[in-house]
Amino acid sequence: MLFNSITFVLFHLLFVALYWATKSIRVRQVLLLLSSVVFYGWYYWPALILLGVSMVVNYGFSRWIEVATEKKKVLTLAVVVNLCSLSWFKYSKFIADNVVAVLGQLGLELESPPMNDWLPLGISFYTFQIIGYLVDVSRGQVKAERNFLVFGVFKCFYAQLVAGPIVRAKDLIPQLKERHVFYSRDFQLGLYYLLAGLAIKVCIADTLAQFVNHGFGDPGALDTGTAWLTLYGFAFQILSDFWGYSTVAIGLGLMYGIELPLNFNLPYLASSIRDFWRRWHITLSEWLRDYVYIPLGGNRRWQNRNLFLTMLLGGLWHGASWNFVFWGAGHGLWLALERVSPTIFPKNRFFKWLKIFLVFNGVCLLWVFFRAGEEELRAAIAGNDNVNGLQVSLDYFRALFMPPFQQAGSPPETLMFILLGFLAFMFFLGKSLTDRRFLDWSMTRQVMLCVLLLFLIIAYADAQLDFIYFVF
Amino acid sequence: MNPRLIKFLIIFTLVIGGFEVFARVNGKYFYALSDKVLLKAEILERSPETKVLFIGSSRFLDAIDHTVFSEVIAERTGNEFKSLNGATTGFDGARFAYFAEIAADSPQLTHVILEASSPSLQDGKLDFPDQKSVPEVPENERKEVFADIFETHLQDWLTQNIALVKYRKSLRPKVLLKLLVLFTADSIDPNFWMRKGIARNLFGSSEFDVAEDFIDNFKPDVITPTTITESPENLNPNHIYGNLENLSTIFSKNRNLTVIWVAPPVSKEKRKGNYSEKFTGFYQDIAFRFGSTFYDYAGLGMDEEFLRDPTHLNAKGRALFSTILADQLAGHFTAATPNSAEAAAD
Repeated sequence: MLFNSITFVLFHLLFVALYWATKSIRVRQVLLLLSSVVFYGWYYWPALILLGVSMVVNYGFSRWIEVATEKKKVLTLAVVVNLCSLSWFKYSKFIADNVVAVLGQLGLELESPPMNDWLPLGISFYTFQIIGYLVDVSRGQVKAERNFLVFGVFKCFYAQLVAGPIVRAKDLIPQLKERHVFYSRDFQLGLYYLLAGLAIKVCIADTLAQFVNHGFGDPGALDTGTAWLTLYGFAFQILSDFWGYSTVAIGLGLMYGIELPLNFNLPYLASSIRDFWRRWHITLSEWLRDYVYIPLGGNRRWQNRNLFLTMLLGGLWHGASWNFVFWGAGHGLWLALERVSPTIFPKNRFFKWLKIFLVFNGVCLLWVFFRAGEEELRAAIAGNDNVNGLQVSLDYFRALFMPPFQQAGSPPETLMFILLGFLAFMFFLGKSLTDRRFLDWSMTRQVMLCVLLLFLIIAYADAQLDFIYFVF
Repeated sequence: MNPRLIKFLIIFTLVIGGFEVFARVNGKYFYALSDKVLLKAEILERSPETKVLFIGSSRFLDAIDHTVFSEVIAERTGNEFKSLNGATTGFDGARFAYFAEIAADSPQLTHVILEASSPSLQDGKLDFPDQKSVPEVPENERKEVFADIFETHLQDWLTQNIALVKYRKSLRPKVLLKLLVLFTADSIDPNFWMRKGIARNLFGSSEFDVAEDFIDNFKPDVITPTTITESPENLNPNHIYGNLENLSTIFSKNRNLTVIWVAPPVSKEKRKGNYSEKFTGFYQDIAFRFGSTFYDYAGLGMDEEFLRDPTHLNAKGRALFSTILADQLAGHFTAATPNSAEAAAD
């Protein structure tokens, strides 16, 4: 079910009403699990089989890890099983194609074997979330959940199942067991987050998508100015798409009285790449830090190598394409370089904004790999294996940097105006979402803002595009 | 439940309800704002003194300055003909036919000048608010995904029953600004806000300086009913011909209307693709059968300084072409009889 569909809005309101109509914790847990199952199986019910198997297997593993004397061995087995499942659905074709290509270079001509081409929705997110949980259980940071109902909701709570935020067991499970009292401020804030998130998605992300899809669809036809504007367009498209999704997720949770973690905090105002990763997809960054970077050695030894490998994995997590490997490697390299570089800028306001500008543009350049990789993934899902993400990246970089810098054609003024308007809109909304100041506003202001957001959703919600992170 | 939340929900519902009532009462304007063609049709209806209507795609939108056109016509003939450039971007055969029906029924109009080029004559689909969003798919071809069918019917029900959803496109900030366009259409050229390059239009000059002989030599191929004695042979009709025929049939019901077709100019490089023998055959056949006149400028290449891109004129090109066109069509505005090809030829 898509968040930006009428079916979903009705479905959510129905389950929220049922949830608050009962006082029994058990009934509420049943409702949350039932709603999540309906949500996930709505478009393709066979996907529920995989989710169910994963739920049962990981419930068993968590209980086993807790009682096992050699926790590490059981944990390793559990992680391998989960990664095998993820790899089969997400990376098997990529691996097979590359092996065949390498063998072909060595003179051994083989045909790619028929591999799985179905990618279960949200598999990357729920696999990482459950691995984190299993590690936490083995470390003794959380107890293995005995109540299967609660475990099931933790595993597949529909607000964050498909594209995060990636939630820690210690944060979510206690909330699922708590007897929530209907708290009006939370509900009102949840409604605001829901409207704001949907408005950000349908109004900003989907509008920008039209320009971006056009630009990346044929980078060879772009002049320099349009290529840069389209790239900035994508930077704000992906932010508003994913930030919109995460905001909706937080809003949905709040309407049930459940608090989900923030995933974004004005990332394009970061003044260093380290700062950027503290503001962008925060729950994934923290997951990578706690479950990859620190086990690799963290700050204790080989810090640069650890940073590089962590980001490489983070890149590959996004999709089975060399583009994501390059994207992750680029960020890893940048993080490592930043760590060893001396501070060259004096500390004042001008240089702070200069650093923000440089970081933003650096991040944008790396987005080229990411967007081209997404182009390849979407084409592959649609059954077209002829789109080469690396070639798209190369063509795009050529459009950005190679002469002629201006070809015949009109500069995309519309895109420029849209970007400027959205910047102001996002900055305003972003502030109100991160510090929750909405609740301090007067009733008139609250109502007017919610009406405005609802109008924007109605006005722009005719395309019903998928969220970008659905393909990951 | 907290009284503050109840108050919030009540006020929220009342405000939305108020807007719904407002949208229902003023449905005519919301409807007009929800599509560019509907907006132009509404502007035409609100301007009963308009006698000349241009219909076409972005090529016509960029190529015609109706104020310049009317001024030149007045200068050449001594008669006042208020004109309106009703061309819009994203135009196609379906929209053409829709606007043609309105123009054909419009009692105030004496002349319609239509764009005869491939973009405006492509097949298309209307997407107006009062049209059903559920596609008419044959039962055996329908993809039976319950989730999709459920969502589509839900959306359709809302579109049919809730005015705010029905006119949703008119709620977009950019579209709402067009309310000003609608109410100021008499004093400010409505196309000024709808063409690409608003900023450049605002600050750029539309003054052109060309040699007299350029204008003298900028002569289109003119096809009039009097120059054709029979339909061309070996005509191979396609959808473009189909749309030409369909539109001509629509206009043929109003005998008081002079119908003129114009193929606008393009760049020197593009002219070959836009100027084909096939089109000339279509024009000759339609001229012969329906008595309309064609002015084909697509074979003439425009200099780059008059172009925004290879197929669209800029402000300078617009001023120049509107002057040339009015000059060459002036004959149609002196004669009292409709479809006065002979007068124009003289």
